[in-house]
Amino acid sequence: MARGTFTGGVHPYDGKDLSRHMPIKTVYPRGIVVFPLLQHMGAPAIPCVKVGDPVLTGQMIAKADGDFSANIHSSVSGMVVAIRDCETVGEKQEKCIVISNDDRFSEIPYPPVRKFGNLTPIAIESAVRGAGVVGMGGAGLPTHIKLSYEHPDEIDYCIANCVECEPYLTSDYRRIVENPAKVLNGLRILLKVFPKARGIIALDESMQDVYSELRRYTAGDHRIYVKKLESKFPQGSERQLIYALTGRTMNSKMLPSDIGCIVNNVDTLVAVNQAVMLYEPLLTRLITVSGDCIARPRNYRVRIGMSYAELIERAGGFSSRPALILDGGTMTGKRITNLNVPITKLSSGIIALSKDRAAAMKETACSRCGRCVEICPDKLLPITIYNDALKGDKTSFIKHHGLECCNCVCCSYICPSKIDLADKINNMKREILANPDEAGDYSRRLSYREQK
Amino acid sequence: MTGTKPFTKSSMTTGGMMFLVILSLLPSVYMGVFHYGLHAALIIVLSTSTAVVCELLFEVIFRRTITINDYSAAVSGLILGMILPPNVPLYFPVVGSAVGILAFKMAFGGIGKNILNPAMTGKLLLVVAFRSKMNDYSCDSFGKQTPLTDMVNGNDVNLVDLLTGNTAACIGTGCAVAILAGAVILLLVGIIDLSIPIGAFISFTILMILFGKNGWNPVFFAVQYIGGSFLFTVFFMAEDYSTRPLTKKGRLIFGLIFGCFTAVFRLMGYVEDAVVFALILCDLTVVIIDRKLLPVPFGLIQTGRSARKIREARRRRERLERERAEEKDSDDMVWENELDTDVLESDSRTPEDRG
Repeated sequence: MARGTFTGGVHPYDGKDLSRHMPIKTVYPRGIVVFPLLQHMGAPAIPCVKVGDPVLTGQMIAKADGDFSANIHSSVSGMVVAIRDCETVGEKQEKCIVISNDDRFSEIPYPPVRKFGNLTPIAIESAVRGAGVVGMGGAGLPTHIKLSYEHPDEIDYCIANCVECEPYLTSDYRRIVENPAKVLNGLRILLKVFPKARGIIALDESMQDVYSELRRYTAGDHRIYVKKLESKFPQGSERQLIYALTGRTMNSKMLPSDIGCIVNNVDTLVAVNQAVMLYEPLLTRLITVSGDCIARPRNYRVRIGMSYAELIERAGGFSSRPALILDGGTMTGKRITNLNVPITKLSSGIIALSKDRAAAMKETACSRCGRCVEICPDKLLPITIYNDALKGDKTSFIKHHGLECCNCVCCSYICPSKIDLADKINNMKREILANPDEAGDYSRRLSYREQK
Repeated sequence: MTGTKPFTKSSMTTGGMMFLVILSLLPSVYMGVFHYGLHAALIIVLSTSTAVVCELLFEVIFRRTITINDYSAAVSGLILGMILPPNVPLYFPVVGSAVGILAFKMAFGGIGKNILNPAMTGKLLLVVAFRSKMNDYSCDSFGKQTPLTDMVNGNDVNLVDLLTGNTAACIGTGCAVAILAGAVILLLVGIIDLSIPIGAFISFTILMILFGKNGWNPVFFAVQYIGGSFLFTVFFMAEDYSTRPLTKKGRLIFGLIFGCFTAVFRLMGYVEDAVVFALILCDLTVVIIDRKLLPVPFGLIQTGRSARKIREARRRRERLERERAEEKDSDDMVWENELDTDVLESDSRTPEDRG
C-alpha cells in the first residue's frame, strides 16, 4: 500500500530554484584528468594501463578487483602520465591514474547498438558490469550487484529514485525532464532482469510537470507506475522510499532485496541504458553547480576525472567569496577545502555558500525538548543514543538500537541546542561495526566494504 | 568551522523556544496584574529576576558556561511568580525562586538535567513552610478562598468570572481564556503537543466521575478543570522539557499519571495544592517511563504478518498480470518506434560547446 510519505523527517531550505530551470550544459575538460581508483564501494580497481600508454575515450584503464568493485574507463583520449597518490574529496590521499588530455576525445569503436528484444538478464548484467556502472545516489554500490540477485523472481518492485530530497541538488530532476525516454528504457531493462517486478518511478511532489508527462509516456505500459511523494528529507533514502511506495519496512540488517525491492537512482538507470543498449561505459555524470556564491548555477554534464576547480571556472566562477564549499548537498555533503580534486562517479554536486550557517551556531546543553525523537525517521531516541555514545557505553548503545540509525542527520539538523548528534552516533556505530562480534547481524550491510 | 554534515541547521534555538514560552505566558501575566494590581506585578518581577540572578551567580561562582541567555531561568522564575497567590509577602518569590533554581536546577547540572520542575519545587517548599499564607487568596475585593475551595465547601460559583479570571486565584492561573490563548500559541508553534493534556484530562475526568460524588455535573467539572491551577499546570508546567518523557507515548502515560494523582489529592482534600504534589510525584516517574518505554525502531520487527502480506501481494499481482496478459499481448518493441526517443543517443557525446 502506498503511503506517499513516512513518519518523521525535516524540511530544510532546499534552494533548488537556483538551478532547476536551467537546461543541462555539457563541459569538456582540458589538460590533466585524474581518475581515482576508488570510485565505488569495495576494493579499489587495479590499473590495466602503464605510464606512457596512449588511451582512447571509453577505454578501460582499471579493472574491477572482486565483485564489489567496478571498472574505470578513461573519459578523455590522451596519454597516461602517472599513476600516483593524489588528493581526493575529503582530504584523502588515494591512488589515481593521471591522464593528459589531447582534447580530441577520440573514441574506441563501439559495437552496433543492441536490440531491446534480444536482451537477456545475463547480457544485461555483464554489460552493466563491464561499463563500471555504480549507484549514483552516493553510496556507490556497483549496480551489477543489485542485478545479480539470486532470486530474480522474488523482486516485486523495481524503483527508480527521482525524489532527490537533498537540498540544492537538481540533477535528477533535470535528468528526468531532459531524458525521460532513457530513464524509462533503463527501467524497462531492469524489468527484463526481474520478470515479476513492477517498475515505479518515484517523484517528488514538486515535480508536477514531469509527473503528467511520465504518466502520458507510461500510459500503455502496465508494468510501470509513476508515483509522487511528499517533499521531505530523507524521502529519497532507500528505507523511507520503499516504505512510502510499498508500505514494506526494512531495518539496518536487511537489504532492499529481502523485501522484494530494488532501488536505483534515475541517473544510474540512464547509465544502465547507455551501457546495455550502446555499450557505452560510464564516462560522464551530472553535477549540480549551485549555491549563492556561484555566478551561474545550473547542472553540467561533466566528464569524470575533471577537477572541481576547472568545473567552477567553466561554470562562470564565483560571484562572491564562498565561506563554505560542499561536495554534495547541505544535508549529507562533505566540506571541500581544496578545489583541485577530481570529480568521481560518486560526486553529485558542488555547492558554494556565502554563509556557514552551521558553524555560526554554538552548541548548548540539551533541554530534552524531544524534537530529535519526533523527527527521527527510524523512530529511535537520538538523544539517548547520543548520550550512550558520549559515555562510550557500547552495551546500552546497542540496547537502545543505536545500530539501526541510518545516519540521515535529521537530528543534528533539528536540534535547537545545535548538538551534533549524528556525528557522534555515527562514529560510535562505525566503531562497533568494525568489530563483527559486537555488530552481529548488522555487519551484513557493511560487508561490502570488507570484501577486499 | 565544522567538518561534518549537516551543513545547515534549523533556525530554532533553545533560547527561541523559551522566548516563545514567555510570550505565551504574557496574556496570563497581564490578566493577573490587571485583576490583582501592582503587588502581583512586583511578585512576578521579583521571582523572575531572582531566578535569572541566581543562575548567573551560580554559573559565575562555579565557572560554568553562562546559560541565562537561553531564557530557561526566566521562564522558571516567571512561572513560579504566576503560581503564587497575589498577596504573599515579597520574600516568598525570592526564596522560592532561589531554592528552585539553585537546589533543584543548577545542582542537578542545569537545563535538561533537573529531575524536578524548579518552579513547582519552589512552590512546594513555600506550601510546606507557609501553608496558611499560601492558601490565603484575599486581594482587593476578592475573598480568601478560590472558587474551587468554595465549590468543595458547597457554595455557588460564577463560571464567567472563572473564565475571565475575575476571581480569587494564583496570579497567573485565574483566567482560563488567557491560559488557553497561551496554550494555543504553544501548540501552533509546535513547542508542546497534546499528548500530556489529553492523558491528564482523560484520567482526571474518569476518576472524578467515579469518585467525585457529582456525576457528570458540567459546572463541577469546569471548576475542577480551571480552578486550582489544573489547566495552567497541564499546559505549561507539565510540558516543561526537562521533566517530561521523551516520547509521545511516554508523555501520554505521564499525563494519565498526572491526572490520576491530581484527582486523588483533590479527593483526599488538598484543593489548591493538589497539582503541586501531583506534578512533583509525576516528575519522579519520568526516569522510569523513559527507561521502560523504548520505541520500536522503524522496520526492526519483521513479523510473520508482514512476510505474509508480501506473499499475498505477490499472488494478487500474478493473478492481475495473468488477466492482463489475456487481454492484450504486450509487445516489448512498440515503444521503441513510438516515442521520439533519445534512448539510442550517446549521453557523453552531446555535440555542444566543445573546446
